[in-house]
Amino acid sequence: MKINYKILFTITLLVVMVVIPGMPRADVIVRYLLWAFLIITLSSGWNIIGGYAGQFSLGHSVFYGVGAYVFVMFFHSFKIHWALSILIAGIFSTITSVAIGIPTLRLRGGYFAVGTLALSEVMRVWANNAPEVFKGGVTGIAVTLPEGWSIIHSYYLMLNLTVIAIATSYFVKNSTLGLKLRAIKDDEDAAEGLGVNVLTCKIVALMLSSLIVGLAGATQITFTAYVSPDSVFGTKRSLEMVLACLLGGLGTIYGPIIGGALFELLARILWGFPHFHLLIYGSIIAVLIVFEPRGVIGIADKLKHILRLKQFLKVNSIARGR
Amino acid sequence: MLEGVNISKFFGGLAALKNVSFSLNKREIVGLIGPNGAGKTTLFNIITGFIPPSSGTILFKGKKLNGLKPHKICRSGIARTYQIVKPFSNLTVLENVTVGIVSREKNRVSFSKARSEALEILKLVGLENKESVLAKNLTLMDKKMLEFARALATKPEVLLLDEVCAGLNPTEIYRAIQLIKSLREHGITIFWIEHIMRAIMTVADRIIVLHHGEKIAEGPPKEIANDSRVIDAYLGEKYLLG
Repeated sequence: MKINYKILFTITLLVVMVVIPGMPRADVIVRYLLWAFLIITLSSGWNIIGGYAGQFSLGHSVFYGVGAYVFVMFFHSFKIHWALSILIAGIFSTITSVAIGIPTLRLRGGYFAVGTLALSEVMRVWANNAPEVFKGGVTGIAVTLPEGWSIIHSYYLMLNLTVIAIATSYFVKNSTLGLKLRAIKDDEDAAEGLGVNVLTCKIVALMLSSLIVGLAGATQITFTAYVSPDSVFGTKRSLEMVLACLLGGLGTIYGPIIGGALFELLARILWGFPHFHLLIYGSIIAVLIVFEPRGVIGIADKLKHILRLKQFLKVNSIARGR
Repeated sequence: MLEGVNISKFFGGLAALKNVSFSLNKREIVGLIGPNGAGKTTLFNIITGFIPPSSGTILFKGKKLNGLKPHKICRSGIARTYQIVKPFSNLTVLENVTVGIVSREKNRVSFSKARSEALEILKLVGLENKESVLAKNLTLMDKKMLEFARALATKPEVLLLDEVCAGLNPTEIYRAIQLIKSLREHGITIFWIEHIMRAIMTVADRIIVLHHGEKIAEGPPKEIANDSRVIDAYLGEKYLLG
């Protein structure tokens, strides 16, 4: 029987992730993984609309923030169970995405990107100026976690969400919806002319995407225990998930995983240079877009090609007796 | 089958189409010719819903198509190809065709069945050996054949062809003509824009001539070839005397 290495690798990785918190002195790794899970979830979610469908949203912080604030409202103010609050947050985030998607998804290319970018700033400014809606106002609010809650709980919660996000990403990619989204990315008019309901497909993709991002926005409260307008809304938040996705590889399942893990690692290394980290992020993205828009996945692909070519030339020269 | 009544289209003050009427009968091949800028592609864009007409109605099997979105019109049974080919570049040939199949409203099939149906269609147009090639890597001829295949995937009753022979060499034109003839055998009605007269004159049952947005002639190919207004439109007045 042929061993399926992909499945074997996935299972091994999962088992490692599950047992890591039990290891001695795993604290630093757990902390790193927790944040890496968050960024992986976010960029996997963003990838559905941004990578597969090619709709370059720069407004996903809106869904992230709505998820976070709705969670705080239900969990902190209404004292509803945390699991239920997370689900409600996800639903609210999805509803927001429909309201945003119906007008903005009619825009194309750069116009959609700029439109959603504007929305993400509008939300940040609104949240900063409307303490009656966004609890805590500008200074934000500390959230009391359930008794006995520790980072390990958050770790497993986040791990679950990450698996859900990646699985969703996988199923979308291999579904008819995924095929239609990729067609839309290449040529919207041709897709529409072939009977693809372009607007509906884009809205469904945005809904799935915002559901994942909204759930993540709610879940991160369980380990940050704090929410403020500037911590969840705004361009910086929107860009993070896009950058992680670009770093790994746009429109692929593995891209956001590799990209997210690298992004978090980079963030931790650059922690010590508070004024340089943005400069370095920017340079990396600029270099990637110019030389390898497909990110790490693209670089790996190229290497594979070069290796195969070398192999081919070697075999050829042997055959010619040189 | 498909009918257009008094269609006009104005782009600002410019009349791209002026009171053009046409009608296609089932299993007919109708050619649409005319000099550059005559409004042929505009007419196709209006039929398929990509641009709204300024006035006039399109009827398909007695039902009005005006105001429907392009994907609805496609699902009702009108498919088209594009003059400038529009393949989904980063999808494989097979995936390109599958998109059309999974987007149908009638004759729905499962995803795996859709793939095998796509293979059948690829065989029909002669692309079966290139099913896993990315569409952007195809030659022009193959891209045109892919346009055909994609349109056929939607199970159309009427197929609008926009210059499928342009840019092809004589052998390839012959292949395209054979394909178009075979489609008629499958019961598909064809509305065909073409500049290559040798191709269209031999295949079409009837030809409609547009000039400056107006229909100036309609009839069997032989009549059209000798029509003085048509020669005037294509070659200019002075050639008429000779």
